[in-house]
Amino acid sequence: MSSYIDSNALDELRILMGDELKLLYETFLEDATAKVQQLEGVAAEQDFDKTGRLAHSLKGSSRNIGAFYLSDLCESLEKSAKIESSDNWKFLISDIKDSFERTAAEINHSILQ
Amino acid sequence: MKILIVDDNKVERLILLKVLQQEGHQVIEAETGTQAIEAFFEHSPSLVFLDVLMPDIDGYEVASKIKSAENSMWVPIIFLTSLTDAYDLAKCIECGGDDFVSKPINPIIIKAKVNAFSRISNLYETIEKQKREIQFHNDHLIQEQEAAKRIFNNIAHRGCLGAKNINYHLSPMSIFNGDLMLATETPMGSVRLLLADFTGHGLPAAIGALPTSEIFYGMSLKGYAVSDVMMEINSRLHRVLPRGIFCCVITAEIDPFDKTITVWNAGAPEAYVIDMENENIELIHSNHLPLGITSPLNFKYEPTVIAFSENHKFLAATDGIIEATNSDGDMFGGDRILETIKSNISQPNLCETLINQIVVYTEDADQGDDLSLVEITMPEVSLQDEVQKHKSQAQTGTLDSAFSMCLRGKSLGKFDPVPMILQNLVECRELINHRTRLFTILSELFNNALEHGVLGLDSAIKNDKDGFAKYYQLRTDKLTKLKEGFVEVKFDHRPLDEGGEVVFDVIGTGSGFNLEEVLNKPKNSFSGRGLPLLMDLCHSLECFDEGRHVKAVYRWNVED
Repeated sequence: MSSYIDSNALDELRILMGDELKLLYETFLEDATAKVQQLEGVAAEQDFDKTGRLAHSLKGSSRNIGAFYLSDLCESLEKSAKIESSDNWKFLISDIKDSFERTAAEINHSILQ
Repeated sequence: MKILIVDDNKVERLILLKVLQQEGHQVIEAETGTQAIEAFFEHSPSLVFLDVLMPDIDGYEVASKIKSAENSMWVPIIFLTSLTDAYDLAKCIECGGDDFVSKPINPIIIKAKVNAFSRISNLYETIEKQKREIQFHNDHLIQEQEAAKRIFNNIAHRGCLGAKNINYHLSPMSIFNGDLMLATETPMGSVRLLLADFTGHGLPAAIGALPTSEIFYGMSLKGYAVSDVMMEINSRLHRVLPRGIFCCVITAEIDPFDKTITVWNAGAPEAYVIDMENENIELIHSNHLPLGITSPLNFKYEPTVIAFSENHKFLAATDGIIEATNSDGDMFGGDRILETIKSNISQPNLCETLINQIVVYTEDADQGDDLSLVEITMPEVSLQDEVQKHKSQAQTGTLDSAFSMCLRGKSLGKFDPVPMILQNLVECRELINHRTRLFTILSELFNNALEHGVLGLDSAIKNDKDGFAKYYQLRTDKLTKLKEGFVEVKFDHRPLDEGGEVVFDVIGTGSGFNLEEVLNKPKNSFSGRGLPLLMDLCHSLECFDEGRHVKAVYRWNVED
């Protein structure tokens, strides 16, 4: 099964967070949902600075909860924002949205249930 | 440990919070830079985890604000960063951060960092605490030293060092360097000087200064001879000083009547008797162990007696001046001192000249602080117009009394009865102002009876250039061999209407001396001062039994 949440990372978080594991992922979903939405807007405006910051933040929190694939995508976006190149943004944003939706679905299905 | 975590990302905060809480730390959270600064000052945490990128104020600025406002406590700041650029990481440290950890948060690394900084914090805390303690003790010590200095300087006061004929250099803290300088006029009209250097520094070196000053001033005022004063100081120091602490001493007494200087050096660097007219310098070397070492039984006072006139000067210094060291590690040394004296022999203030030379030699202006030196020229004679220091009090004590003392063979010449008899006399408080005159009368009468009567010495010997040394040598030899003979001293003190009358009878064995003959000698000859002086001071002076019995009457008035 292809997984959007790394199982090793999830196991470690389970040990660390205990009862609060659900709270952690709920918080992530809440935070990330807002950020992905904002990302679409600022990217469309070609705002490199805001895009970079949002990508940076999303990269950090997704890596923390084990969503490594999403994190890697955000890192690519952050890098291109840094060099102010928006050539591949269209695909990147779409990949990030898609990846986030799948990650969220996996979280909802296997962690928050 | 109280830890502040600053991160705008709630997911990261949640994880970090959990890691730290599991380790038992108290955690305060802040979401923005502004909140972070407020929380820092409100909660005074011991450690800060700080995110770099935040929406309002970034982590760099928060760190510099916290660090610049810190008072005494050191609070480590650890940056949380996903930055990998070396420049960005270095910036974390430059703005006041102490370390950084990379994101995502790794619980093991976070725990390790907290432990490491907790150790460093404890170390800082210990250092701060010790610093405060040291500061406290240091302040306390300085206060105590100040208080001690005041007490010491009251007891070991400068005496008559301020007189016109004396120049000296002495640091205000000299007593804690072990240096002591005392000077006093004696009832005999002479000026007596003591330069002492105790071994060691600080309080142990200063302790010995108290008994030394007390004995020096106390016994000198009562008219005791230098030999007795030195013997007493040696005995006392021998008894009270701990092993390894002793006292190098130079003492000098200038007698303006005999025109002599009597110098004794016990363990100190050579002292100088300078003849400014003939440009001749006599060095007085140490001939005794420092005071406090020799037991009272083995103590020997063997001074050098030298003729001293208005053209002479005496100079003494502690070893600080010889040992003053230049940047090459070479000492100033005795030869340079001698050279400096020779080439400045007529300088009125040799002390100042020498100090300046030392400062030039060592290229260190503070060097002068460790130096103690003193020079003295002939004092002005002030015997006849004694200052009225004490107001008359009610008639008391020994106003109406008689006293007699007889010294025979073994005591004669070894015990000086004058201070003791004088002490009996001044128990009548009105006589305190007459102490100097009474002392002169008593010591002249007693010494005449002893030296000219019992020992048969001819004072004409003193007229020679080296006469004094010869005279005192003869006196010592004869006293050593003395087995028979006596001198009896009596006083009878009776009140008169407006004061009183002291009748002295001094009776001795031997050839006696011819009063008329001595009186006819020229007044300015060395030996001739005794009897004319007595004539001046006494109401009457009579001689019986071929000079073996002298009766002197001293009258005093309440007004005197």
